Amino acid sequence: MIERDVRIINKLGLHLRAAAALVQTASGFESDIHLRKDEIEVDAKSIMGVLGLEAGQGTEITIIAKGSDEEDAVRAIVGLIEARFNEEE
Amino acid sequence: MKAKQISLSQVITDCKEFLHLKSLNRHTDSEYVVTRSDIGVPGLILAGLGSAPHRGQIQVLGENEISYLKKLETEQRSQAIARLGELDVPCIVLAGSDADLDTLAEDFAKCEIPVLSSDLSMTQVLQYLSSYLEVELAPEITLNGTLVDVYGVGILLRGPSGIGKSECALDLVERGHRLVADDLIKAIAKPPGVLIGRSVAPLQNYVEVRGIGLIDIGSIYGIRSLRRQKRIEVEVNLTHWEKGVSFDRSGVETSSTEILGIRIPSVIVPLVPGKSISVIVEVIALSHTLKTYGYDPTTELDRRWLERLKARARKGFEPRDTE
Repeated sequence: MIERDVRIINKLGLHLRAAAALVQTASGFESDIHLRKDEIEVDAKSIMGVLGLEAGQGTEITIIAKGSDEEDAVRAIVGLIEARFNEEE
Repeated sequence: MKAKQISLSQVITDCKEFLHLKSLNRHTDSEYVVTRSDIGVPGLILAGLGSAPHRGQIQVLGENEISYLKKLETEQRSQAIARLGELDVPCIVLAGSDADLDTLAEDFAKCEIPVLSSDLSMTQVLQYLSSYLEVELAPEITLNGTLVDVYGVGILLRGPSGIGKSECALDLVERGHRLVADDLIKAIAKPPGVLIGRSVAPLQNYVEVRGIGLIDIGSIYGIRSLRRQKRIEVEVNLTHWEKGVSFDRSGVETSSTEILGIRIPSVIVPLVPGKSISVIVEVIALSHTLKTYGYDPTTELDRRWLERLKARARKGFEPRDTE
């Protein structure tokens, strides 16, 4: 199991489209992937869960992955967040 | 889990209307926090006896304490009230008729901490405040799962992502049941031993169905398909059917799960193609209701069966079915 902290840096935070992109990315992996903010932990493969984090710009979240491709999964999600979900701002 | 707290200004905003709260002195309420759901009655402190109350605990003075204060000489009274004003508590509430306070209001206005009055009786103030605080300060947890009210029973659907919890909820809504929360549930433990679930506010009414996206249940099925919050009574675990894994077959064994220290029955339902999960969930809800009414079909069958076997052993032959 690996955990990694990452900060949401895009302007709009985890809005609907960004959350959908994150869920899409996470769903491509076998591993169990969760996101944690404060005391809330959600399934990264569920859009309702990811939206439920209510993570705006500047929020720190933790990615927790467990499974055969956990390394790749975390790298892909961190990459997506750091690339500001490939959106123009 | 973090110890919960609530600001006094929030308490006042929420309770103002019901308790008819009025402020007797000017204080910025935002710096005061309430951390305890029980309420203190500082009668002995007024008399110069008793130890200091708990920090973070609201104090209430009732008709008795107020009439005691009135009987005191002016100087003694000011001293007694000043003692209260120095307590390290979020606020003092004076309960009872407003008219009784006229002579005391001036002294209370000088208090260091916020002083409020309510024209309800002390019992009403205590009851209302503590039940309000019990909910607001209740231990809270976020659960992954879907909560549906099925025939009045709060069913918590759980299982791995993609197994069909939301689809099951949708099917149940279609059959006339009510959605409380999909995917993310805020649960609180309300004393004594009641688990209450509700959705995360902005996501209320929505369900995610893979292939379609987010669906607004309220606008498609109307208000009767929704419920704000519901007691969580039974956990239903949806799992993939696996060869070799044994599932409960008779219903004699009951398993349970613990959430926030509260035990609720738990049922494991293995999924196979063509099985209607929503019908099974309806049956689980109804049989839970039967049990709460004191009738357990499995125990009943077991009892009848044992009787039959006993009779058979006694007579040495099978009794003829007369029915």
